[in-house]
Amino acid sequence: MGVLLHAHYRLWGPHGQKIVMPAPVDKDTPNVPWWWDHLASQAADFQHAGFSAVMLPPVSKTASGAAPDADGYGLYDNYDIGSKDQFFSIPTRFGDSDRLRRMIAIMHACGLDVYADVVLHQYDGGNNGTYTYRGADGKTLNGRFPKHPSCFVGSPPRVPVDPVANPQGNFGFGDMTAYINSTPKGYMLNGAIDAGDWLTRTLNVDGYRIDDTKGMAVEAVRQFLDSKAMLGRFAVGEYFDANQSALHWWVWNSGMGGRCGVFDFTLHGTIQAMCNNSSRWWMGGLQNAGYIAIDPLNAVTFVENADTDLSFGENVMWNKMLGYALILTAEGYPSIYYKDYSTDPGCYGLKPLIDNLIWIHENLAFGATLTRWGNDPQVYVYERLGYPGLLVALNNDQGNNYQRTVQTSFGPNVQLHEYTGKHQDIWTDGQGRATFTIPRNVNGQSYLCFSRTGYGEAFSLNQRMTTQTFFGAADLDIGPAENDRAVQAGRIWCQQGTLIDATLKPDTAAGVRARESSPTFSMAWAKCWQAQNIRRAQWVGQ
Amino acid sequence: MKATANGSGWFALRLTGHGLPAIGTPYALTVTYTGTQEFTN
Repeated sequence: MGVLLHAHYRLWGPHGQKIVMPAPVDKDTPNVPWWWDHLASQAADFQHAGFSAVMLPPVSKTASGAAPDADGYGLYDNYDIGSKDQFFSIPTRFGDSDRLRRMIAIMHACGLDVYADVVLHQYDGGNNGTYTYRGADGKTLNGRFPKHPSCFVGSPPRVPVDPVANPQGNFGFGDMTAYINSTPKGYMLNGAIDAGDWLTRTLNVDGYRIDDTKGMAVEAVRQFLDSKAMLGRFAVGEYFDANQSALHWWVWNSGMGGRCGVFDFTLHGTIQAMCNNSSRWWMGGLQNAGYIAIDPLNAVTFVENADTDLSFGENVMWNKMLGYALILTAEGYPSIYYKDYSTDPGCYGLKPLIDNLIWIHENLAFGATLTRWGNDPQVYVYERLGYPGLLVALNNDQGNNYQRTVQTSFGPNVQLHEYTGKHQDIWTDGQGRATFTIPRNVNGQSYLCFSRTGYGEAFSLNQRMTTQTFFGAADLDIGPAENDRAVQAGRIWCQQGTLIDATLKPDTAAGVRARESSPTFSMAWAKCWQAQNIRRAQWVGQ
Repeated sequence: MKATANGSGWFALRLTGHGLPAIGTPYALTVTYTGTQEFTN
């Protein structure tokens, strides 16, 4: 199923404030790269480690501009992806639009999917519910998808709250949107769908994280995901609820119809309890734990994320590797928190250990799960039944090793290799049983992963092309085509010797048609520092 | 329009209109290409 890297994190600043990834605009870190460049520089490493997708922070401009608290969730302008001078910055906290498109193209070239984080629940930075944006000229307030008070929840002229998925779990941040109750009817939902379509096509993202789905009308999320370019692409919702049944209700019975998966907050709670309590937590509690136990194909599992990490009571403080050993050997689509993984300053640096588990996930962990030892206070053993088979043993006791003998499905007298390097090879006995000793829990590194011998293949790069659309219009971030004057539509980052294929069309969806019977565009591309190598072509359109 | 990248790095896409409305014409320029696998700024 793949492994997802959640490429977003926060740090504590020197004054106790939360800082969203270091950026070169901060006075203390002028030499760090933009986040988009930092991700791009690691793309090949991510793929070699076995990741299959990267989930970005929200890419649109927020009311915090590029400031240290600009985490992306205070959404201001859907159509500013680091491409308009608003809130004192053209780039977002993470970089400008050129860097964003380049990073995505590099990820694709390394065979990685890229998911966008879509914020639908709230906006921030308007003037009493009125949002106007700069257009392509950088001055006129004619930007696309302006908003007015009746787009948002509140007293008139605002509107009543939508029939959201979970009213008790719907918390206000900024201006809370109303997709069902806004007026004129359909304005907000159609506008969000058009903005999502634009974002998907101009960046070529492959899927979405939908933020705060508890506070969203199910009908709005479903329509968004089933419209235009979003149709059929991967989606996972943040339905922040530890109740297994609540997650299942939202995925299947709320009206979503299985269109969108969920982050497995149920399993996160279990992992948190297991890791933070060490020996005191009863390991038999892992049996049937999490949303993965009932709907693994719609469960995105995680140990930590950018919200839980710095929230006491929600974070996993110790023994994190026990949690990663679980999600990277269990069913579900595992998401690795960048700060846990990375060796960047301020991150937790678990990469060497997690890389080993990613390899196990992608090469050995297939099929249904069968508990082999599940009624034990300190040890839990389970088996993944798809070929070649995987036998996993976890021990949360900080004081003791444990020897266990369990039945397996490998068959009699089969040699099994332990793929984390913590145990010598073993042989199943004449009845297919395996006997092994699980090491005591030292920083969560008390897990074993046995499978048949002979596996060891490295991951290879599978190059993919990128298709991005540059939309030019007066109310967007790129201006329209003009007569007898060259305008720059954008820039792309290409590998030497590869094909570039461009198609140019008047954007009739923008409501403007060419008046002339046979207008023409001249289109040119130039390698930026080799303008003499301009190649020309002409396109004639109606 | 098709071309082959004659080097690795940025390529700028530029447009010039002829016989278009004076107010400017919205357009959609869709480009399919292959990024580099290594990143050098």
